[in-house]
Amino acid sequence: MKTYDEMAKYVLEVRDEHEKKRKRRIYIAKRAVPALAGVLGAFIIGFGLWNNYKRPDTLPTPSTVVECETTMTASTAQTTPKAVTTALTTSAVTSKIDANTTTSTTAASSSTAVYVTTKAATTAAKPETTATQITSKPAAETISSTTPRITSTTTLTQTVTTTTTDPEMTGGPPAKSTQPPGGETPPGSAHNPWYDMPVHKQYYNAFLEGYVAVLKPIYRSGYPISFEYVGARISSADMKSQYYVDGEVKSCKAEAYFINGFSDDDIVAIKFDGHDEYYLYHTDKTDLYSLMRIIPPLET
Amino acid sequence: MGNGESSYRRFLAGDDSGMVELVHEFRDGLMLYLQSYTHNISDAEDCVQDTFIRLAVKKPKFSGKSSFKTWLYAIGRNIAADHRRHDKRNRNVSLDAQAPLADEADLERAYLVTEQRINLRHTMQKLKDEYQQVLYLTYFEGFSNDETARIIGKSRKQTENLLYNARKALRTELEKGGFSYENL
Repeated sequence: MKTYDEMAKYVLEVRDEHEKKRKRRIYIAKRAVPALAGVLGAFIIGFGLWNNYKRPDTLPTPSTVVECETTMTASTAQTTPKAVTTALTTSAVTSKIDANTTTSTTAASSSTAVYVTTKAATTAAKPETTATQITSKPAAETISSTTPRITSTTTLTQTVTTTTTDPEMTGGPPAKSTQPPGGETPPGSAHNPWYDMPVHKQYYNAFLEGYVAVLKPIYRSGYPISFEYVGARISSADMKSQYYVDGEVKSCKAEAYFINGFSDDDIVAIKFDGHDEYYLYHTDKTDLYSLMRIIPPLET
Repeated sequence: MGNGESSYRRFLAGDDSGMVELVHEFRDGLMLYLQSYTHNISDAEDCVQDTFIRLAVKKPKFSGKSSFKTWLYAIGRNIAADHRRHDKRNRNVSLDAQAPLADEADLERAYLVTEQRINLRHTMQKLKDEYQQVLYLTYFEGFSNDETARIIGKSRKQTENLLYNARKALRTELEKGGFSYENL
């Protein structure tokens, strides 16, 4: 059996050993925590970046498309025939009462006509504020005005449709428009002009397999080419329409191939499933017209 | 030397001699008490040592709700209970367990002093563990019923009943051996 002093000594030795271990643990923790925090921070940043680049490509949804349509119309006085006619009639009556001379009657009718026309134009322009210019000539003269969507009685109509999409909102490739060129399809129309386009125009955008926004290019539709230019297969590709067709972005599958003598960073050949033709698709940095001199379009 | 509280406070303040004093003051009594748990003086010694190591390493806070000795014996009892639980799982008979008889006799002589108290303790060892513990704490260490209850982890009423039954059993044992003990 241990003596008192031996037991006390043993207890204090155990205590000292424990203290030493504890201090060593604290020392290691103090040294390791900053290093681990750095590694963890780097990992989090890396993961965040990776996750950011890995965002799926999304075409703009209708809610994110800002549409601005401006219709410029050069119309004649016949645009508001009823109003002017009424005004003239009224003024004619007034002039009969107040004035005896033909000159003053004409002047009065002119000013009244102008007033009425202005009012009509302003009323029509209410939904979308547009500049209105009205000459002070009688109704017989041409009145230049800008009104929205008055197309039924116009003599000259020019429609400009622009779409602006904030790329940061979607992170996806920019779409040119929500409607195919060639005019606005009236609501409820049974036939969409998209269906009449050739297949490579229908599916304007090509996304090769493993597409990552920013890191990999989007290919745009070019023209049909001969199979002689086509090289090895690259991968499959997702083809998507440029516009919303019947409320959705149309898509289909295709195969992407190299074009001999060119990098796939610039151009690729696309063969749609169920089609025999090859189509040249190019990135935005490639000049299509220069390409046409080197790789002539296939006559179809 | 006080009741041990001042020694413990000095030890917590960094004076190692406080621990030496605690060992001197409480080792023997605690060892005899814990022997009723371990049934082995060598294991009891280990438990006592572990009790002091726990004080030295963990440095538990002594709140002063009971006396320092009560608090220390309660810690010792918990350690002995753990030891017994562990010992049940690893039931090995060590060589050390075979030869501490001389140590025990020396300890009894040193701590209990009189032959009468030594004989009484030997008789107590024939009783149930609980009876041994409650009798030892009450008659050898001089704890009150409340303090005994706190150490053995029972209520005061349970402790009093236990003490009554223990006393009756001890009397029977003493009568069987031809002894009589007036204080019982």
